[in-house]
Amino acid sequence: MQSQSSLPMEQRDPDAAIAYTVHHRTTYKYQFPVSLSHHSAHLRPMGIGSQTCTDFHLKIDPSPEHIGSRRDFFGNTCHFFSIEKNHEELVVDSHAKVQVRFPELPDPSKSPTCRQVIEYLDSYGDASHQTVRIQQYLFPSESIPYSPSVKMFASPYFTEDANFLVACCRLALDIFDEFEFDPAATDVSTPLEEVLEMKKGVCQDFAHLMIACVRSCNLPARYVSGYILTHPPEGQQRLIGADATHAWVSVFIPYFGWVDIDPTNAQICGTDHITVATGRDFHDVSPIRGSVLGGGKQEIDIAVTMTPELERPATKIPLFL
Amino acid sequence: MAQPETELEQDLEFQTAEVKPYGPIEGYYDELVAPDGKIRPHWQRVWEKINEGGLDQLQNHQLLIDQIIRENGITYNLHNESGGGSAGRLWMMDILPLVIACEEMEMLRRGLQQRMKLINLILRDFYGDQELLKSGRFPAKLVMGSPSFLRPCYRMIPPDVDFVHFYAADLSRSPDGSWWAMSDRIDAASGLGYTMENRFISNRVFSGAFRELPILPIRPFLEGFRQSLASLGDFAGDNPLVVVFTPGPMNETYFEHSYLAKSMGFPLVEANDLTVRDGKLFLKTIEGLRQIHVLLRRVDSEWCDPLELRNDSLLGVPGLLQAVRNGNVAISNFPGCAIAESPAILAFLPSLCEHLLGEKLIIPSIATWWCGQDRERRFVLEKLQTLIIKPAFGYSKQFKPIYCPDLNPDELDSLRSMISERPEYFCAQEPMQQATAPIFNGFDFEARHFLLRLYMFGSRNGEPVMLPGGLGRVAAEVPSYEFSMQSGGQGKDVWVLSRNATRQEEVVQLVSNRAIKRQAQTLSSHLADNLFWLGRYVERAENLTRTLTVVLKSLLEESSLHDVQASTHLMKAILFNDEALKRLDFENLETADFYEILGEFVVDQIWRSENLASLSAIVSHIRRTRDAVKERISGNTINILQSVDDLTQFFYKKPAEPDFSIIYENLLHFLEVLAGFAGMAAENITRGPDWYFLDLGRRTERASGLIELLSTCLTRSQPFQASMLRQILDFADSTITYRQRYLNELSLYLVLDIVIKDNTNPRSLAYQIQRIQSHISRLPHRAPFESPHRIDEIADSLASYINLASLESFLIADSKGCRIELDRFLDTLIGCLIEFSEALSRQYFSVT
Repeated sequence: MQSQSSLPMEQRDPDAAIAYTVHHRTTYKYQFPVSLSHHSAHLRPMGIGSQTCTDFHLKIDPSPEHIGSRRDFFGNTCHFFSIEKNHEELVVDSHAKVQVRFPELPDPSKSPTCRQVIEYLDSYGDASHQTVRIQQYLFPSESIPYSPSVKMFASPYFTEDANFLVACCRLALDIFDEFEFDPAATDVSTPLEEVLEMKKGVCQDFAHLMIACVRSCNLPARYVSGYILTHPPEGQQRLIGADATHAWVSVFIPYFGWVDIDPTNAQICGTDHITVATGRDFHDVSPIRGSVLGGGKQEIDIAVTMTPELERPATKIPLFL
Repeated sequence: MAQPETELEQDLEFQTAEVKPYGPIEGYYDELVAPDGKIRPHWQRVWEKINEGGLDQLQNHQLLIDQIIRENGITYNLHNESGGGSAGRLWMMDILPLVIACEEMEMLRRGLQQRMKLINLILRDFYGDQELLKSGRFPAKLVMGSPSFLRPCYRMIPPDVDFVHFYAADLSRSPDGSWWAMSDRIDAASGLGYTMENRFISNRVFSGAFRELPILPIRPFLEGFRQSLASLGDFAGDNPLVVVFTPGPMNETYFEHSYLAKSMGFPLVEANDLTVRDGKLFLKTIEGLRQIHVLLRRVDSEWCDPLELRNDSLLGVPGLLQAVRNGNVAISNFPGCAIAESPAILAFLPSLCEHLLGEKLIIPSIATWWCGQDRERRFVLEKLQTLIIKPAFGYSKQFKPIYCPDLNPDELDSLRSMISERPEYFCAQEPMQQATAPIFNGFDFEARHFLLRLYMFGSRNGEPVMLPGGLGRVAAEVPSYEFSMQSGGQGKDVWVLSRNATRQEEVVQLVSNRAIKRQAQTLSSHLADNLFWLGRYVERAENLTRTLTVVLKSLLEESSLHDVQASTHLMKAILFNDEALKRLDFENLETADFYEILGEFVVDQIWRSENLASLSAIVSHIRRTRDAVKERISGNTINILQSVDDLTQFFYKKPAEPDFSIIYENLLHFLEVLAGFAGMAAENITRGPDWYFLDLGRRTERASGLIELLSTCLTRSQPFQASMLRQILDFADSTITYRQRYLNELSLYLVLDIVIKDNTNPRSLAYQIQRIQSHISRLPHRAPFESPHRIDEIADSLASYINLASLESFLIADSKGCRIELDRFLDTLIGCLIEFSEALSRQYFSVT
């Protein structure tokens, strides 16, 4: 087992925040004019735990007739806007300043077994607000339906006496090792069972698959939508718009809290990850969801630039294995 | 009137004489007959009245019922049924009412009020603070794991507003006579329309009983419901716009959506009629957008906003939930409430009732166990073979109730392991020995299990109001617990007799404090479109049918070669796209050939499926548009068109060996139906936008049909011109007028005058255009002023073309026999008409 003490001390300092600016631009080009559109957006990075969003603004072109925001059921900020004039192109620019601190990490040796997690949730734990909400992460959801083949794949990891946190990390590692990152293989509608069969996909597929595995064993996992810092090759400038939206998994460890695991990169999420929103799956937190009148075919272009205030080497937190 | 004593004697006598054929089933409570074999007191007068005329009369009554159902088009749709001939199944109603004692109904009313209140408190908690979940009084999993818990509805409405405004419950009676709630109907409870129709029918069949017995009327409930819905829109001031929001004609209970809209005077709208702008909900009308304040929702919760709920829904309005959050629209019932229908919730109602209301449930729910709890699961697994297993979260296509006594040991084992694997998904209920009520099966009486559905609406400043009646549903067989209409169940009217012996009169206000209105109710673009097209299709059907009858006449009667040739030409007019016909070499054909060709064309023209202009295709369009405008047109008028359905067999089944005289008779009958509709419509529809659009459709179509006919038949000189002219006069129903004026002299000039210029002839072109001009001058001109005068302009130029036309020039044929001027004239007119129809559509039908 690799110990966290292998990380340089200054990166583990919970008070030393790393500041980022994120620019996330989504461009829709429509084949025909759109006369009316309604959109909802999950774009504002969350202010939770080890992360603070110090500044955020949304610029929409053409400017919407109606715009507002609310806190959704999961605690995310959800914007909605509607445009009531003819337009053939829609550009949504989200600018955020975020400070990320090094997360508090659990001691894997003290992490409960799978059976203990199930018992904790069944007994209502401390019956707090949080425990009630965690129940929803045990059930299938829109993009993560129940699947016997997923359950078969997952069962060996989550045996009753297995350490839940370590089991999750093993699963993440195996997904990382055995699955190929291939943007051409899947799209948003590719069913999980197909991903499992092809062993190909993108971060969203891997996150969904890992969540499906955890849930199929009656254990709690949720979906996280956000950004990850990419590191330009040594001596080169960061490319504008080359970063991407990212997705990973968060699992609930009783008496500790949520631990974020990135199966696409086989690591525990640290200061390279920015959380935008959490939910049961992509469907709950998709960055932009819309309903347009007219338009015909549409082309979507997404460009994300995530810039740290100071360039620094990658700070990868290894999985607990 | 008889003395009370003798009345009782008569009762006793009557019992021994007539009740024999009805035998309740041992071990079940029977509604009619008490265990001692006597008729229950609250039934006595009703039973006597019903049996007054003996079985013969009941048989006649049952026939009358079936006829009324057919005439009124009381239908329900089956799922997964495609259009065509099978659009709707007729409702089935048993002649015998279900009679509920007044005292019992009073108890049920209190019970229903309590359940409705309880359910509202529970929903308020689920979508609010979730104290019930945090305290463990209700299992969090049943909410958090439920597909019916719609997260966008969390804190969507203010905490003092109720989710449920309209509530229904299905009740059943156990052997000891007590009532049990089998399920609560909350999301979009159906059946109220059918309940009203049942009453309408029994009113007609048992008019004597309704005159003499104090049966509580149910009509006032609907009026109360109407007012209560309007009061949900109080925030909008005095005149809130309330609409009935339906998934559309394919929905199972579309009939009643249309019925409710019509009887309460609210527009019936589909997703396409609605739009959300600036956080408010609007109806697209012929006058532009009008804000909607209240929705009576018949679209299931998760389908009603594709932006925030199911994004594959075409039945919903994007932005609707946001409009709700902004407080700009009230919904009966608010989306999200479907979760309270989850079967497993029943297991927790008793304790929640004590906790939230400090009372015991007045109407208990059927015994229910949720397998997500250890003790309950063990019990269920042990007793499995005696229970009914249901999905804990609600029904789906894959998961319907499983009646375990019917399973074999292997099936039980596999069910056991399914339950053990995912226990939260299952709940179990005890099968109840449901009470029976008598039905009349056409010959005698039989006992059947039944369910009673009761309805209630909330009122802001008082107690919720219950319908003093309900919807009875009896199973198709004994024993059976399938009450759905799909499985052959029947409906029953429910009577409650008032304690006061006097008959209940509906209170009619003599003086209303409302201002008199001459202005029509809001007409949505979508309806205006359908009215226009109904007008067109009816007229198109009439044109085609008329042509076919003219042609068939020449086939059936002795006709000259010229007559038949002319007929063939007439066919050509309606078949102007038919290449085969165009290539016919008229000069060298014998009479017999024409007969054969015509016969084929007639059959083709009625039934050929790939022919989009065939009569059967037009009939489908008539039925579709008719159903869409049903709630706008008075019952009698629309009922005439309803009888088109009687011809379904004829229109949708092409005979192997066509018999022309049978076809002829059917077509004549169809013409009568169409003429009947035209007459009723002209007499009964108020002169407002509804009428103008319907008649604009008819006039536009009639003008186009006539122009097509003239341009095919008269733009070339033909040797059989005399026959041709006769048939054109026939087609234009102008033969008599012509003869009265000109006797038997057939002249092209005079015929052209009578069918083109004569504005006293209601079939002439001039007349159609005159009507069109007059109608459009009365249509509302909506803002933004696109170009309402464009429509006027086109109509005006049509009128002046006809006015200025020189008929003399139309007679001249060139060396090839072509009447170029006539041809050009007709071409111009048809072009204008097409443009007119498009301009009308742009202006009024495609509001976005």
